[in-house]
Amino acid sequence: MSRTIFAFVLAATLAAAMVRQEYPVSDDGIPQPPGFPAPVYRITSGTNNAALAALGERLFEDPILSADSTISCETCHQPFAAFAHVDHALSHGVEGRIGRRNVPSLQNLAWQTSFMWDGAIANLDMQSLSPITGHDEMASNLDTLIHKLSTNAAYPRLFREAFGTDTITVPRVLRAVGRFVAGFVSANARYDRYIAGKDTLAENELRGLQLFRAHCASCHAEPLFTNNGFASNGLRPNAALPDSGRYLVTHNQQDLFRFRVPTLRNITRTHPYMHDGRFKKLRDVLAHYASPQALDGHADASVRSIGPLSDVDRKDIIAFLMTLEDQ
Amino acid sequence: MRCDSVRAAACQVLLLALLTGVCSGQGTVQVSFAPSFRGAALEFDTTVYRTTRGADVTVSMLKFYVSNLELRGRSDTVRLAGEHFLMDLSDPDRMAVSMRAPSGTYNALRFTIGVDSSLNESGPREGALDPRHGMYWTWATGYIFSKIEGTVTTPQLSRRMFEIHIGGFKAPCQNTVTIDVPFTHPVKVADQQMDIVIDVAVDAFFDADGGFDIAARPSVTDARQAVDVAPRWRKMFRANE
Repeated sequence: MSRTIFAFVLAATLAAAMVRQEYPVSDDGIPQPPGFPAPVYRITSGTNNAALAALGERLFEDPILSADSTISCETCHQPFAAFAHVDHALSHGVEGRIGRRNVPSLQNLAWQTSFMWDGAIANLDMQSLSPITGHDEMASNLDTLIHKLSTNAAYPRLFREAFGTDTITVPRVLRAVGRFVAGFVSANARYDRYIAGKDTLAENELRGLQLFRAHCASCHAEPLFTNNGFASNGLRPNAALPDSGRYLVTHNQQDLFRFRVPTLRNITRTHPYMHDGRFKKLRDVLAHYASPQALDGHADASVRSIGPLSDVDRKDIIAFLMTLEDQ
Repeated sequence: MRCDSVRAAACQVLLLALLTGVCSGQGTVQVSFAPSFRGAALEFDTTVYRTTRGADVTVSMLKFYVSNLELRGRSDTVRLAGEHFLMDLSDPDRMAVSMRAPSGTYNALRFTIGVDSSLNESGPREGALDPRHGMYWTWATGYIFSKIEGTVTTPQLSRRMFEIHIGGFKAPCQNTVTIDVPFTHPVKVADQQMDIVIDVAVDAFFDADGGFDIAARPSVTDARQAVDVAPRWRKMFRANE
């Protein structure tokens, strides 16, 4: 267990460095694993890529970003949980305030076209503004934050290395964090090695892959295991936590109760599941999709058509999903 | 010799033409915004104003993005600046913008209250568009184009805060507003700085078109809520000549 955790910490925090040896790297320093589309993410010109990522890593780990300097990005995006918050349906911000949606994992963000469960944020560099200022999260006042960083012993030098001058601004903070998290690349699971012809899958895993492609892949499309879209997956609205999903962003009736299609990479490490963290185990998730009669009326046709799945089918799909763990 | 003097004269004429061309080709235009309420300068926080709907309001904040400034002549239109400017009419340092403009005579000023749609979805920007200015929604991507905040009191309602935040750059909630300010007297841009003062009639926001029920809607804070409120900004601007 601890070895697995260590392996992923290494894979994730050193993703850029490690993967760079194996894969070509884009001009923006983002690894380009075979079979992946071109990354969407771009760094701004005039920055030192390595120094920018290093600054971003330091900021990501530093509670200085929160109002009372108690919470860092890493508090809720844990390196050993594919940067999700393991065993937390909802997470707690400063002063014990509780958020309203489950913390997503952070992987392959350089290929993601919008962010948050409802896709509210359109740009990775802009994304961290939300948790940094969010009342239930870090609750920082931006003027105070810039003052704290500017009077810190280390940061002016780190900003100079990344940007050429030691001026600390909000856009610079956001770009550094964005560049760091854009380097979290998941592309070295047993699944990936199987696709590359370097590993084999067991019979149940292969059967799970076939079932997955038949029932799940229209949304959780390979190789990213998401189509970057939004779907209503038939969860009944949570009375204790009302949430209209993507409708809150688009105000289109058809987006009512639609949420982001999350990647399934490292899914075994990121429990609990769904936007409100209602399912503790993958078997609960499979039971949900395999019960068309229990789906909410808003469920998309693609979800309704999954239909009943036998116990063996569900177990085999889960066996396949376990091959999506980064090694 | 004669030939030389002719050449020299020609050179002088050319030089003169170039110089006057450069000097008279452009001027400086300063557009400043002056907030008012029923014709008198708006006093922030302290003065209580009664709307035609019978609400007593004070105004504590009046901020907005100005972009796509154009001077319009009889036949031509001149684009003044591609930038976005953040105006904060409670801060004397943030009430005016200054730009270069080609010499000429102009009959109207046009500008947009809002931020171009492409900039709402791109990465973080320095300057006026820095999210540090508090004019950005993090939970729905995009800039807040304008803010009017203050307090409202009615006979039925004890004093409470109101905040009217307008944003939204995508249909069906595309809430940028184009403002046309015609001049009674044409504005001449030449060598000297030309000052254009725009009156921002805050009373029109509350009173125009049958009035806005600020007591019933003290909080407008997303693009959908702002759809029927944003057009009220069209009523607020006129040239102070």
